[in-house]
Amino acid sequence: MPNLLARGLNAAAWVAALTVPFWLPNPYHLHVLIMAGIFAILALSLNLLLGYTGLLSLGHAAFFGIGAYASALLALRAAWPFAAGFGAAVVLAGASGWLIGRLALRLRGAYFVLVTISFAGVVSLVAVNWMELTNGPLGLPGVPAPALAGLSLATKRAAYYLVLAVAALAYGICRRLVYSRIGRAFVALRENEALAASVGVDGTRYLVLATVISAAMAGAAGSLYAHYTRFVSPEVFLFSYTVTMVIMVVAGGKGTLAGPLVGALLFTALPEALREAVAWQWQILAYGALLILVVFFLPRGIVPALAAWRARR
Amino acid sequence: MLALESVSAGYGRLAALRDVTLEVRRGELVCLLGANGAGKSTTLKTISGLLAPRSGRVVFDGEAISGLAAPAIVRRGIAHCPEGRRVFPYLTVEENLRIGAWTRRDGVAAELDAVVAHFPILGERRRQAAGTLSGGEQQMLAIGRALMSRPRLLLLDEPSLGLAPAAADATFRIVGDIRDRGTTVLMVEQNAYAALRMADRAYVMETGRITLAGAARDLLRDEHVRRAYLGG
Repeated sequence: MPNLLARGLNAAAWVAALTVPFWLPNPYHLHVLIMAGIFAILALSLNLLLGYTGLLSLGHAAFFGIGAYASALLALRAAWPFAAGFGAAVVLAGASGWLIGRLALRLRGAYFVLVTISFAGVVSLVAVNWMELTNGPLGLPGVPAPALAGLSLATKRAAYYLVLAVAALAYGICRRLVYSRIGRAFVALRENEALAASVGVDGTRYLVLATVISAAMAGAAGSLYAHYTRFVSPEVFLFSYTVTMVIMVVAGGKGTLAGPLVGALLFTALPEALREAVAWQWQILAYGALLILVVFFLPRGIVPALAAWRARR
Repeated sequence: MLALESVSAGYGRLAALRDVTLEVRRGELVCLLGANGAGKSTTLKTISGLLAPRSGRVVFDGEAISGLAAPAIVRRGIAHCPEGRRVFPYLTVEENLRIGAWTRRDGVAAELDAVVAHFPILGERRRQAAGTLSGGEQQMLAIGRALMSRPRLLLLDEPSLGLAPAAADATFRIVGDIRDRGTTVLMVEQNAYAALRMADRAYVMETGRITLAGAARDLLRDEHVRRAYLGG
């Protein structure tokens, strides 16, 4: 019976996700959903590291920003079509993930956190100061809207389906990975690296692999963001983006597949809902209070709490 | 089959092994005895590649394996069951077993069936998270996982540590069984009496050196061993 319930919920979520642009009256709400989709990709990407391998990347906004700048610059300066720029964003972000992984994973734990933070700091400084390339703090306006095979995806509705498709793909990749041999290695490394080494798992190799996949996914989200908002500035490197991703993953349920999706939807929609419901002075305060409540009452996150609740019934 | 030739190793500036020479022959069950900190676990780690020796050689099947990385050593047929937390608690029993066959690609399903046939309790708990097993079951899982790599030499670190007496006895029976089926075993064990009764030969370690070696039944009668490790 509970299996049937889960399947029903799953199907309902898919139907809702596929039809929402047609029954949502307010275009602004569709915009919020598009941003939630972009953040869902980011949260899925961070969850691969934080949830499955246990590595905390506090510079994840760097991979997002690299993807956004790569895609925007190639479109503006070299007139690359969207699909090619998107691919380049994924590859470039993945390559920087490889570099960071190789550097940071000589050691583990706090050292990885520090290297990712400093990497985000350095990339952000480059974006601010390399005026000729990035136009500095003024940013890059006029990024073309995404287009595929000559078909412009400039409308909100089209952008929504594009983001939905990439998010579904990212989810599918995470799912395949987590249930594979490689996914077992990630969890084994998180739980006990010495034991994993004793069965022959090459820790550094698989942690670097996780970092590359995660960074590439964040780069994809960056490319979507650049072409959807049509503007990229050094703000994409803000630490608050990373913090938002961490909140989404931890509150949604790290180490679960659905957790990042739930977290992304909830914590993108929440500030908007508060904006409509509460006077502006109280918005941040209410957001903070809700966050504390979630962490306090559902310390393992929303999805694991729901799963435990269902198992008890 | 396995020989350590004047192996020294350590952590940072601390020397944990000094000039250790020992030998394990095909089909034997050899025991390493000694107090805490004598270097027993370090010896196993040096063999399995988790720690690189500073000097000396580890030879397996006539080839030097010292300096090889752990995965390469597992592939050559040495499985190491480390002490302490023995299983991956959030992986299921089956996932724990499967990861034991990490370095192999083929015949994993057949090996899984063989291990489950050997330990029926693991079959019953197949889909359960390993962390929910009892201590004795976790030890069975750890040994089963080590067998998944089809080792020719099994390194066991304190298999009875923290287990209830009945579970410890069951574990020793399993170890004896594994030896009888043709797998060579090198075992570190605190319970010197039980270990010496089942082993063919034993080495005694003190502060990083081998201080005594011999047939297990001779060591059981040895005055020094009786006083130091068998409680009189």
